[in-house]
Amino acid sequence: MARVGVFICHCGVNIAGKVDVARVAEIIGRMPEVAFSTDYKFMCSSPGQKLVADAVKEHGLNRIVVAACSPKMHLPTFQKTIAKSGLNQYLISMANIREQCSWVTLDSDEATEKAIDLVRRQAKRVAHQDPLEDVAVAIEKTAVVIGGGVSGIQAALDIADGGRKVILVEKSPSLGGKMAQLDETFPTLDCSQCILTPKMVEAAQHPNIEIRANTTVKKVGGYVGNFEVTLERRPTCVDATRCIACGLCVTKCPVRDVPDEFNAGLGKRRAIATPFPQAVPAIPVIDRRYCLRLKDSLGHDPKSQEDLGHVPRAKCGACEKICPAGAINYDDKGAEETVKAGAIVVATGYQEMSPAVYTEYGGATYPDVLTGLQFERLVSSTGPTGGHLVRPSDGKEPQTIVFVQCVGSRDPSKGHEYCSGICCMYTAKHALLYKHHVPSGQAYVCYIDVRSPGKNYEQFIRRAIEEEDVRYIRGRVGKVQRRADGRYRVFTEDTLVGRPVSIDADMVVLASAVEPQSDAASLAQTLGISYDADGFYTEAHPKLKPVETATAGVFLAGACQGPKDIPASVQQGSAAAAKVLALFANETLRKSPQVAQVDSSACTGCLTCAYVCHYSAIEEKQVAGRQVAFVVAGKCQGCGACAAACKNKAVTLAQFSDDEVFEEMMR
Amino acid sequence: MPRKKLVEDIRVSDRMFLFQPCVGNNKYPGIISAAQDAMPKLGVEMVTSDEQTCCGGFLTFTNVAQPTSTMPAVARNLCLAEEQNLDVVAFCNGCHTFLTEFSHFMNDRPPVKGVVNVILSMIGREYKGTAHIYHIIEVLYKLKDRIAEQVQVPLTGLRFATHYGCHYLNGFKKTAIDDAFMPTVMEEIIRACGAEVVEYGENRACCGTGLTQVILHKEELALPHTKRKLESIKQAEADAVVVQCPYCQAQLDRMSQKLNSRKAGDFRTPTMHIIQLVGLALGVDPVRLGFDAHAIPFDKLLAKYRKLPKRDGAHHKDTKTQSRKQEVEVPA
Repeated sequence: MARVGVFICHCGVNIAGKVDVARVAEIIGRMPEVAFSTDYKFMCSSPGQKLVADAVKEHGLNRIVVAACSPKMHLPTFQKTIAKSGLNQYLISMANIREQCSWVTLDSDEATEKAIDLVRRQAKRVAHQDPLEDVAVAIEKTAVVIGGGVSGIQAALDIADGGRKVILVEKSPSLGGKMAQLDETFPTLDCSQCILTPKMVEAAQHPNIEIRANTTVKKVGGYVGNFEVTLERRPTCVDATRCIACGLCVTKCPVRDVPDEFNAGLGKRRAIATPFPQAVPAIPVIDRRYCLRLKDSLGHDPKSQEDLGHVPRAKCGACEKICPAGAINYDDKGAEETVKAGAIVVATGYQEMSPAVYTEYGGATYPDVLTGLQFERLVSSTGPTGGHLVRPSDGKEPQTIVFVQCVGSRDPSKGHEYCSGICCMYTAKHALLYKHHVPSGQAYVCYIDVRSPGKNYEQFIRRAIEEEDVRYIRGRVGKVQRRADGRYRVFTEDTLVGRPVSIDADMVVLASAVEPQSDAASLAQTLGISYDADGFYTEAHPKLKPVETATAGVFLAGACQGPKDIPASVQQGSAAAAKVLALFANETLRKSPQVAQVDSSACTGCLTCAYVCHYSAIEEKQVAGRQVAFVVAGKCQGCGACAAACKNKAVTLAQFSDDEVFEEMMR
Repeated sequence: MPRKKLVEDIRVSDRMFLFQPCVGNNKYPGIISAAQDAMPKLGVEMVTSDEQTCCGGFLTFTNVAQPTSTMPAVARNLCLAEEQNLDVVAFCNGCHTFLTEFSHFMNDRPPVKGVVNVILSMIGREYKGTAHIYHIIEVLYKLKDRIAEQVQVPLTGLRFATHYGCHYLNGFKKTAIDDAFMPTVMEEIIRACGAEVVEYGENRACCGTGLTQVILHKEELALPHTKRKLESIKQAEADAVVVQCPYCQAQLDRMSQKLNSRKAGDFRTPTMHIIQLVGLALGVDPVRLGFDAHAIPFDKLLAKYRKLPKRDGAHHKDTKTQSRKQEVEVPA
């Protein structure tokens, strides 16, 4: 016999300002199944909770209706309250008389009548609700971290130090990401590689971390605690188990003109190469687009005939011949493996926007008009010029250099509307590095605003201006003209003085925007997470949940979530790791019991339900010699498609039985 | 970089309406005769109308008279082409911009078109808005391969500087087929004719004409700008500057002469329209290209030209264009 307790919330004036809550409580109180009915100012408050707990005891209530805001706000709150009072937490229903009543109805009388109707339906429905127990799901306590940049490395290290296993997936041959491409970092001017490589090595040596380089995520199935991640390693043609990283193969390769991605398109590398000297793993990789031996077997022309010299085309195999460890395997087809994981951390980083669309600057066209990353490579000792800052066109040192801020950022017409966050700081850093390389030179920075919010950031900007005489000119650059003498004339304006300005420069560096990786959208599809209009992955709440996604068990870290600097990327890596460790701290995952169930006596075994299930949660089993359907409670997400599809009404969805649904629907 | 989809949409017919540019007609008639001789070699017959007037765009744009008077004048010119079921080819950045903008304006606003047609009905015409308006540069670019095939005198070794002007690339951006900062369309046509293109710093600078020179006669504003451009061109040591607009042609050509006569410079690079260059390459008689009307003489270029071998092995005709014996003194 149902004894329903009904609590009508005022929500201050949000509900009570429109709905006559006292009248609603009084009318509902007359229903035969309602044993107690009252109204109260703020049901979600502590006294409100106490009101419910006391009423359960005093009036022997066995079902509860709270008429208030949306259940998405406070259903869990009330569920916990009645659980503490000894009632099963699923014996409650909420009537939304705020978002769906008082907030959207103009007339007070109409709102009150509607509220009465809504509450009445819930009171009738809740009487038919049965107690349910949470489903306990096993958790695979392994994390997959996608992306081996500083953010992913930090997440991996923190999870591993927390005692859990990590598979760190990186699509390029080495860990390091963008930070490995930097020369020095702001504001300390630390050597980037020097502070990063210890972490890279630690990750490689950590007993709980397995690195999968040259690998991407092909497919993800399952759900939180029970993901199945299919990884695909592309063919590298070098056996990582045999290679001793001696580097002899690289010295012998006759192909020398492959565009070097690590050097941002400046400089060339060999067809077999490691991206940089401190690479982890240090295993070289054969680029199958350029390798002569592989091209022969594919029947294509080699790209660099002239580099062959005297080596006959069909016989290149120089790396295989020289390798002392027999690690070269031209027949490598790559590999696919599926791993089980309880959580996924996405730390795939960003890419630098190509300035080609900025034809007014000669971006990606004029040889001495470079991007931020390209400048970084020029001043790096591991870069294409061994760290000598020279013009790519003629090898001369630039005596005058102009840095252009906001190329592609804060620009809705040709680029992105957002601010890329790191360029004001890295440009000041570049200006300082320039002066360290060319002490007699003059640097100009053409800016709109200077954004330096972090610790010691503002002081860093002042250092550039005051100690190294970097001239900051406030104005947007209109054009970069290439002159007959090979120099460049930069046309801009000084808005603080109100005059046009032109500067004759030897080199121009464009602070090109931070944007999402080109494969970010397709990875999002694979993972089932969302991304915003700019392509960055969406966090679950912009203020309060910066590293979670709307998909349980998938977390974000680093620049893939939005442009950010190294400290913020490291912070997010650690934050995501904390979330993962919290998830793994429990023995099992408590899952909502609002799942479907098959009555095998009514089931004909047609398996239509399995066909419509999006979550692969329905299997077949044998009962008394018959094939029937069976719902795997752990996988079921409670969508109800199977219950709707079943022609024999053999499938029911918990809390959506015929009785419950019709009581709520019918007059 | 040309926007490929727009280029795909260009329809070149075997008869097209040659929209005579007024500045061309008055100052450089060689543009028109070059078109009439060169285009048939590319399979396009150019149809003109004696009833055509100035495009009327300038007057409409500057509100010199009521738009109810000037807009019908624009529409009337387009009717001349529509009545013969022809698409329009403009040889001037100004003509092209104004015809395109105002035809879009009328077609997008039925009330305006209605008023225009009321006026036009008084002279027995109706503007339907069906004619496409192309710039000659679009038609030539579309026919680039045909130009390469039909070249009679490959302009090997001749060096040209390009000047696109402002109104085509920077104006009605929806239809321009090339990037405003780094265009390559003229370069490709010039190379199809066998010649070389030289770069110069001020290549995307305005020629300096426009309202300032032509309407306001504020020479003190316009001339320094033009001079800077001409100096940059001079450094490039081109055989000629190639333009796609008679206004630009007039400015660069005549202001060279003016600056020379004031001893404010020594500018000898002649200016030619792209259709004149294509005409040269296709073997049109140089007399028909009208170089005599140009202020800066073409003697040097034509001398080089006559030494170039013809594809059919024939000799160049011994037609001399008049060479200037002395510069005309113009009061400062």
